[in-house]
Amino acid sequence: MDNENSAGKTKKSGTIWIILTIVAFLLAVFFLAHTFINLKRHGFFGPSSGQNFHRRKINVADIQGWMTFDFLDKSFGLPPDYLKKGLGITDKKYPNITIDSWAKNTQENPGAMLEKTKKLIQDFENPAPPETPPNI
Amino acid sequence: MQNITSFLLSYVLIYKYLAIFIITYLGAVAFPLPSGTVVMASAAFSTQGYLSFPLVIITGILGNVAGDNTGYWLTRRYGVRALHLLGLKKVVGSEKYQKVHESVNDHPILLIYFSRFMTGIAPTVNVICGTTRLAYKKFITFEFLGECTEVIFFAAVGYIFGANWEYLNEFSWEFWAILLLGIIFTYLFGRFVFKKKKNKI
Repeated sequence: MDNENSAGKTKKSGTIWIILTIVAFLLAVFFLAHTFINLKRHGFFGPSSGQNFHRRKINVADIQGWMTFDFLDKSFGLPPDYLKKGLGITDKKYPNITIDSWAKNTQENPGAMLEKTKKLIQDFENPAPPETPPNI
Repeated sequence: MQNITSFLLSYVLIYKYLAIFIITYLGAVAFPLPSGTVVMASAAFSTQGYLSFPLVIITGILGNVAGDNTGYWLTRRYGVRALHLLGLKKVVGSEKYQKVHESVNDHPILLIYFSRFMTGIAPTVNVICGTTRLAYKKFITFEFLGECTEVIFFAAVGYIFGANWEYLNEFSWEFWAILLLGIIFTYLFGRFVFKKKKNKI
């Protein structure tokens, strides 16, 4: 009787282990497929995926309020005083202050300050062509 | 979470390695800080030439190891006393307490190494290891290996994908889920095959 009971228990625990193994496998496959689909949707596996994803450098659209002027200077190769002059920054901590904290200091809208910064960097990257003198 | 991350990252940009160390340290002690995300972002900053990639890894590992050790040694020294003060005197000598100690001692890889990948669980494991007075050599070995794996993983993702770190960060929990489920599946499958072979013999 005891032997029968213990054999029954072993069989039951064996079934539980098999079910757990299958569940772990199915969940792993589910997450793998979910991640794959999401990454594919965002162009991760496209023809230009290497260019888009591999060690991608920051661009103007990536700029956020928590970024410091020092980080922006170095990331975009800006002259040290370019943003200081452009935004009229007088803070002694420059360039080690964030866009948001400068906006707070000047009581300006952080969103507007962010846009101003983006515009200045965009102008630096794509300078307007010099005006040609009118033909006389 | 996004606000906390932005707040912490601004400090990383200002104070660099000191900020990385403090954030990873506090995260390892018990504060719910996104230290993995901070390491990932810092590695991404290194692709811009703003930080040094090897130094980000070294600082991240040092901060995590120091935090884990703080948790371990504080509870090893004062854990039992704290349980006494909290009126849990009976817990210390109980059979269950002994069993926890034995299971930590018998499965250090499972408990210490893998818990490093789960920021919320790792500090609890440090406390258990300290309170049950697990041998320090055993603790530091698996803890160090676990932290190295975790920091190198996050840093590698940040370094490889550069400015896309933010986007990939949204999926990071899914990567961990796949890894963890893969490990569980391998363990269960191995156990199943091993048991079948043993029964045949």
